[in-house]
Amino acid sequence: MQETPYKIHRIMRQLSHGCTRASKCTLPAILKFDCDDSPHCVYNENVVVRLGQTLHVPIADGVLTHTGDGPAFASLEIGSPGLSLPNVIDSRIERIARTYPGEAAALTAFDILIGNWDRKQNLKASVATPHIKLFLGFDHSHALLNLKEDPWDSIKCLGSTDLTVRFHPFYGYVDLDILHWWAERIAATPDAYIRECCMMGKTFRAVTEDLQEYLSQALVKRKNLLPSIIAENEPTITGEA
Amino acid sequence: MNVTYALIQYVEDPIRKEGRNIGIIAQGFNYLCLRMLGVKPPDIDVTLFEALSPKSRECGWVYLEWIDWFQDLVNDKGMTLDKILAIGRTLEGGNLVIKDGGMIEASDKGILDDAADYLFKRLVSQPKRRITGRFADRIDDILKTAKIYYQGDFEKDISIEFLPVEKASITVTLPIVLMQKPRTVFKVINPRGSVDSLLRQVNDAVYTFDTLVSNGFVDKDHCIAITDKAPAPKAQHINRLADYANIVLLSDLDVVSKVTRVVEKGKIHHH
Repeated sequence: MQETPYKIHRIMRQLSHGCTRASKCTLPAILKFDCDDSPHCVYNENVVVRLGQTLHVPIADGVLTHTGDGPAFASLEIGSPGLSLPNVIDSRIERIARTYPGEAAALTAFDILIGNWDRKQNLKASVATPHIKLFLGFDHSHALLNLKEDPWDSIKCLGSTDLTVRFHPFYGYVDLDILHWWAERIAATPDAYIRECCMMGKTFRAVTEDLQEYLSQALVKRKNLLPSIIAENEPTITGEA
Repeated sequence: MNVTYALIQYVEDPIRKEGRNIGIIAQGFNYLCLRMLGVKPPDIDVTLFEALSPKSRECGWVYLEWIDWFQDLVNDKGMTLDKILAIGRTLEGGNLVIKDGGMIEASDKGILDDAADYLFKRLVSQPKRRITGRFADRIDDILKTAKIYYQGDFEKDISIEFLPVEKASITVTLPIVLMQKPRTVFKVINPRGSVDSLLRQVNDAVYTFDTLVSNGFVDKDHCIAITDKAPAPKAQHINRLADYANIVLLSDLDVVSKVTRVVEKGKIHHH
């Protein structure tokens, strides 16, 4: 179990009822919208968080919210009140992979599943603090439907045996045995769970129910193929290609 | 020789954009040099950063991550100040930013460390005093910062019973112990209560340290009495402990280093 110290912005009044003495509070979040560069960002982020929670992959939590422009996605800020954790830089990747072999393998397998080619520095990990274990990926706006310019091309790509993620910070550092274990674990997830993560029950912003349905089918196919996709692309993943 | 430098600033409220200098990165003589608040290799004391403001009080561990991050950045092969400033631009809007500092003239015969030390002393103010809080919380913070809490042999609130031959047993209590030999034992003396209360605590600490040392459980150099500054009438009682243990005051700016040194080397050795 990892610590996930999301920032508390403000603690407000205690609720008058209940034996747990609960209080209201606010947490800062990064608010994300659909934009030209990432036209299905809000849907993507929401589905990826659902998938991550279903598969128990270490990614930051977030929730749907509403702004004047319609639904938006609020990704909870990681860190401590008053200071955010630094983003990962290249020279720390090897150390992070060594400190968090399980989490690094989980995130790599997950990124291959969702076609996230933009992991780069979108990761927070504590490496200097022995008593705080923290490893969380964030920002998945370029995965799933935004993998290609056209969402239908993205679905086609996800439904294929293509690795799609040609470059990843953990390629060359990830433990292959643990990666294969994660691939098998993801492949064993019931199809219905993947479908439930993708379906919103109605058109969501620019994402029609058809798109949601086809995406879920492509993802189910991809998670079943994940062990073989990873096995066939070992040279790329180990950095030997 | 010109030495260029960047400032590392802590911006408590990114909307106000008012930064406080907490470090510098200097470049000259073909290499980079980092100086950050609370870092005196090999010691790192994040409590100085925590003392900057009520908000920073909660994020000493994140500051430790940033120190590590900056050290990696500066030690990266091929890294230059320009590249660091480019990375710094990606930090804009956050609580920790890197800003172009400027340039100073340094002697051609000098070394970068001297220039970095000069810049750090000139540009980074040390916090005047630590933030006070509940006595027990402050001790917890210091033990966490010194990484004592996370050692495998850490024990809290234990009783130790000695059974001398043909004598009654003796039991002493310890709030904190590191059990791996050479053992380190702690007693906590809170000077904030009445003189009577302080006397009881001091007597108990003296008895405990004396018992532990005379029975070979620990050597005197690894006994620590954690307490705080007190007015003269109380301080005279606290000073009695000096014959039995290393006295560490919570208000000392180098309290974490002192505790660490006693654990690692026995006794407080000064630089």
